[in-house]
Formats: sequence, structure tokens, C-alpha cells
Amino acid sequence: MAKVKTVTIDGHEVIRRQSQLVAVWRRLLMSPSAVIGMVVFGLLVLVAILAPVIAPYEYAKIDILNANQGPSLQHICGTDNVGRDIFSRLIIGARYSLTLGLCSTLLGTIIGMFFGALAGYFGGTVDEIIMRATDIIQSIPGMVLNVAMACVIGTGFWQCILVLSIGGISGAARMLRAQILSIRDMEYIEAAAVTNCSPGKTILKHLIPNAFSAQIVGMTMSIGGNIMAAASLAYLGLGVAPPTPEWGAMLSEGRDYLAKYPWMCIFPGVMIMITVLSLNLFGDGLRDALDPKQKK
Amino acid sequence: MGKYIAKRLLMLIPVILGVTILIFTLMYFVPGDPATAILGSSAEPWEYEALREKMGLNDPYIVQLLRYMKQVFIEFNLGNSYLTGVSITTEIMGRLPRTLILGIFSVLVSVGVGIPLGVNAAVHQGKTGDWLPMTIALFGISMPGFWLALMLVLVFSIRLGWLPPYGMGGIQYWILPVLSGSFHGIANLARQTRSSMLEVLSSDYVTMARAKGMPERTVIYRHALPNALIPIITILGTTLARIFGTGMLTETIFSIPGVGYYMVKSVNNRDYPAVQGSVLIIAVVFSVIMLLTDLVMAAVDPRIKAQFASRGKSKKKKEAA
Repeated sequence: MAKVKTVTIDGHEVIRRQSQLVAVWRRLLMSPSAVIGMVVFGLLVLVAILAPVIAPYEYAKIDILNANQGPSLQHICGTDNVGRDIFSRLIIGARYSLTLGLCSTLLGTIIGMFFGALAGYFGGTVDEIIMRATDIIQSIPGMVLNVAMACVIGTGFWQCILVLSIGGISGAARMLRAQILSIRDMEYIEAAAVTNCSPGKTILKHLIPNAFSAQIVGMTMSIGGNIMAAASLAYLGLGVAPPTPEWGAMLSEGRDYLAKYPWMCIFPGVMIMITVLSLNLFGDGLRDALDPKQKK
Repeated sequence: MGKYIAKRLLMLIPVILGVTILIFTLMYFVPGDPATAILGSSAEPWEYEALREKMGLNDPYIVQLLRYMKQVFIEFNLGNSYLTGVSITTEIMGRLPRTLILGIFSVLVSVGVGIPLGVNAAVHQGKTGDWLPMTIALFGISMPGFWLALMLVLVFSIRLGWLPPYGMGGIQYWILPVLSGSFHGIANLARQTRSSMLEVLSSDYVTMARAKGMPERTVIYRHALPNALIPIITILGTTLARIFGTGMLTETIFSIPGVGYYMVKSVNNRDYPAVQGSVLIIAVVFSVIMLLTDLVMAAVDPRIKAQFASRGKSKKKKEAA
């Protein structure tokens, strides 16, 4: 537990109120695995931003003479079937994969929260309709829905973001609705209604901020999930297509060379695993930090 | 129990109708002309028009939708493939057993390995039996299943030559697909089981049971585990969805001619009625399996049934999906 701080005002000792955010941050820093996750993910974001500076080779430069080389000092992760440096491609690929994961999660969560808020706040018929719709969507396994959506929306980077965000809508909606239901009858919401606070304002200023902690943990986890889903779609040829160095697309390029040049498949998968692992560690830590009651 | 089963079965009907409408509507808006898909691009303009008229593609959306629903639910006919003209129902029914074998065995392995691992980890908290499997599980939930499948093929088929890398045949052909299909489920279930077991193990009734001198085995499997089940079931729902969703990647990698493989092929061939039919069948199978799981669980734990019964009033149902 964080220590209680006191300040002296007019000669009286007063307990200083600690910001919720600071308290959560302190608890987060106490968990080593959460810190590791945070640092690793931070590094990956940094790598993605600085990608062209860090990459030792031009990521798209074809060099047939040096094709299919195994990992060595010149090419840490080897080269692919046309001699492109895999390490450089992985670094540039971080941009695609991370953007895919972040944007699709953000978009899906925002749309989902809109419906979840409507369902939770208004209840009744609105709630019934939205919940039945999510029932229907959730009766299709996520990956099958993604493939069907990719069939409708098409393939490519932006299309892939849209496809993956649709998969996240119903989960986010349900989660926010459940949270809102648990706080809807609280006194401060009643107070808001009494002071003539409009529904829109009540939802945005009172309900969502108080229901946000579960949502943010869910989002952290689903970034990782979406990165894996994006890779799966790319592998099936329904997401980002080669020669874009998205990690899943690199895997689908490497599949034919699995027997002879396995490094083409190993390293992109390792990158996906590191990214998702860091997000999972961070998400676990965040959940414990946001909900100290659960932790014993 | 009978009433509960009937209620759950009845709830399945609107969901399946909803899926049909949803997937029909999606495919209706897909760009591209089915007549061109069937006839190719070299036919006369009047031929396209005639085919469109014959297939009823010029009818309003609602007429087409109702016709499709009638065809599916009354005639049990999913239509014919644009590409080959073969009945989609026959194609899918021929492939369904393989998808089911893969799915069901993956689920069984996930539950059969994941839950005992989690229980063991919780009982031996902090020891090797805890941190080692839990570290592996953490990696397990963080890697894409299809990549694991590729790595398993690389190690066990290509390098060691123990198991066939793809194809159909005896039991040895199923080991790698089931292993890669269930690994994520094992990891996820083990993690959830561990954390919810830890919570239960510190409760008073477990201490009480131990104080009575009950054998530790009975304490864990009769008193603790059943009470730790509800959060585990929530995870089981997502595990099932994942297994049936990523099944098509597994089928693609191991060349198992199942429904998922058929669907991926149909998407790539722009064979929309086949995609429509596959999604529908996968959704139905998935819903039925979810229902069966819920029923088994309700038989094991009456609290789940109670949760469902009070759902209409309190609206605080724990989500199982």
C-alpha cells in the first residue's frame, strides 16, 4: 500500500488526498513482470518509430547473390529467398503490426463502448436489441468472422484494421454494459440525473470514466490478440499482403521454405510472441494494480 | 434441468436465424457479380442477364433473403458452388467430421491437460510445479497457433521425422494438429484454473474440510475445484471459440480437408455461397457445442443454472462467450 502523506495547512496536519492515477502507477511499478512488459513494449514502440534509422539494411532491397543465408554477423536473422535482410524487415514490420494492433483495438473499443453505453444506460428494448445482436455476432468464432469480413471488406492494411475492429465491437460493448449496470444505481449517477445532467453528459463524464478500468485491461489484452489475428489473416492471404513486411505476411512468404530456410518462419513468429507476451505481462499487472481488492 | 435445457434450445433458434440473416446480408453487399463468377468473362451480355434472372438476383433484397432462408431451413440446402456447381451441403457435410474430430479432440486435450496443470500449480504454489508450467503457459497464450503449428512441423516432421507434416491418415496425422490447436487452450485454462483455485483454497470451508481430517485429494477435487469452476467456464467459452476459429488455420497448414479449409479456399475463389454456407455451419456447430458445454457445466454446478434463471431479472449474467 502507498503511504499516507500528510501536509500542514495553518498548523493543522491534514491527510493529503492521493490521486487515483498515482496510486495505480505505484502499484504497477511494484510488479516486476508488469514493468518488464511495459519496458519491452515501450522498446518495441520506439523501434517502430525509429525503424528506418535502426534497420541496418534497406528493407526492400533485393540481393539475389546473398539470398537464403542463415543467421550470421552480417545478417542477424538471415536473408530471405530474394536476399532481403530479415532483421531489417522485422524492424520495419513492427510499424505495420503494432499499428494494426493498436488502431483496430482502439476503433473496435470506441464503437463497442458506444453501443455498450447505450445498452447499459437506457436498458429496456435498446439493451435487448444490442445484446441479442452481440449474441448473434459472438456465436460466430472470432477468426471465422474475421475471414468472412475480410471477404466482404477486402484485403490490405486499412481494410485489415477495419476487419479486426469489427471483431472487437461486441466484446467491448458487453464489457462496458456490465460495468455500467454495476454502477448505474450509484448515488452519484442519481445526483447527476437530479441536477438535470443530460444522458450524453452522464454517460461521458460519469459512467464511462468510472467503468474504464476494466475496459483498459481488456484493450491491452486485445491489442495482442489483434496482432495475432492480423498475422493469421495475412498468413491466409486475407490481410496485409507480401511484399509488405508485416510479420504475418513474412510468415506466409516463409512457409514454402520451412524445410530449407526455417529462419524465414522462426523470427517473425518470435517477434509476434515477444510483442504479445509484453502486452500480456503489462495487462496482468495493470489488472492487479487497478483492482487491489482482488489481490491478496 | 429439463426446463433449463428446453429454454437454452429455444434461445438457439433466434441466434441461428440471426446468423443466417447477418451472413446473407454481408455477402449480398460483396462487390462482384455472381453471373460473371459462374460464366466467366467471355459470355454474351444476354447470357449474364438471363442467368441473373434465373437465379433471382434481380429480385429485391428481402425476397432473396426469404428465399435463402426457406432454402436453408426448410429444404436443408445451402445452394450450389459458383465455381464447381456442386451442392455446398454435400461438400460441407463430407468435411464436417474432420473439423469436428479436430475441434473436439483439441477441446478435450485443452480441458484434460489445462485444468489439472492449473490445479497442480495452485496446490504447489511457488514451487517448480507452479512456475515452470505457468511460464510455459504465459508463452503459450502469447504465440499465434499457426506459428506454433509451423514450428512443430519443423521440429517433429522435418528435423526429427517422427510425424507426418501434413495430410490425412491414421492417428499419427492428428497428433500435431490437435497439439497446436489445443496449446493456447491448455495455457489459458491452466492460468485461469490456477488463479481461481488459489482464491478458493484460502477460503474457510477448505480450511474446515482440512481440519476435519479429509484427505487432501478430496479437499481439492470435491470441495475446492467445483467452487472454482465459474471463472474457468468463462475461459472455456473463449477457448472453444478460439479452437473453432483457428481450426481453419490448422486445417490449412496440415492440409486437412475440413470445413475451415473449404471456407478459406472459397474466400480466395470468391465463391460466396460456399463462404456463406461454411460460416453458417461453423456457427451452428459452435453454438451447439457451447450449449452442450453449458449443459454439462450446469449439471455439475447448480449455480450456473441459477445464474441463467435470474438473468431476465437481474441482468447480471456472467458472460460465457
